[in-house]
Amino acid sequence: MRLKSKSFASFEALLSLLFAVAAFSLILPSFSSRPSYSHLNAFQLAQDFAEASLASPRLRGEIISFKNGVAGAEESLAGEYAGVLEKLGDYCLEVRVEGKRLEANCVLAHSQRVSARRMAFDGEDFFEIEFSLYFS
Amino acid sequence: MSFSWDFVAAIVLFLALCSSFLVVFTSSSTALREGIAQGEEQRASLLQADLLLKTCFPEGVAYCENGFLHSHVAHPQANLSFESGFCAKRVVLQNGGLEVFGACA
Repeated sequence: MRLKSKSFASFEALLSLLFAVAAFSLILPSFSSRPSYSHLNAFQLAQDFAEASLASPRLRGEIISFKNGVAGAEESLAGEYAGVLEKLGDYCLEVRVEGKRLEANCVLAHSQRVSARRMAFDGEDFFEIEFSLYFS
Repeated sequence: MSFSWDFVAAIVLFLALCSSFLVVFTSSSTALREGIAQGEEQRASLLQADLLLKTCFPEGVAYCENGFLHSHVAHPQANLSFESGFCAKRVVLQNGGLEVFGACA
């Protein structure tokens, strides 16, 4: 009986140690988490693409041509955006306007997405345009 | 005798726990401090880029006309180049085309 009591005490200490290690492992990720502003930066970039594209008469005209299905407008816009994205880093840009979709620099699969929407006027009607930026 | 064995076991476990805690805590706190410093650098760059983008040339890069600031339009003479390292990058219009503007911390 005395022997049982002794082994139980050691087992209890071991169990306490295991619980302590498990609890510590749960807290550990909060110590190693690093604050990052990449999501905010991507959101700013999506807003920049929307704002700058519509502020430029030339780009706005190309967007309207793309919306209306004018030949060559998609390639021209995609080329312009791809040139900018090359300098920005590993981002993929998707532009959606009235059911039409344009992609630039979308080679790799990305896990996160941010979007910016604007209303624009094509001379006759207002239309909505969405710029989505994909990143990892 | 049994009391002595339990006492020694408890001391050994306590020391093992304390030493592992100290090692992990030290390395984690170092990693956290580095992470916070990097985050602060990113935050400063983003703020700097945003401030320059919303300030008229020559103090910033924005194109202003009669006291009106044109959003996301850079002055034709504004220098948009940036150095290597961590720089916050923004997209602006300059001379009718899309350009990348960077601000480094």
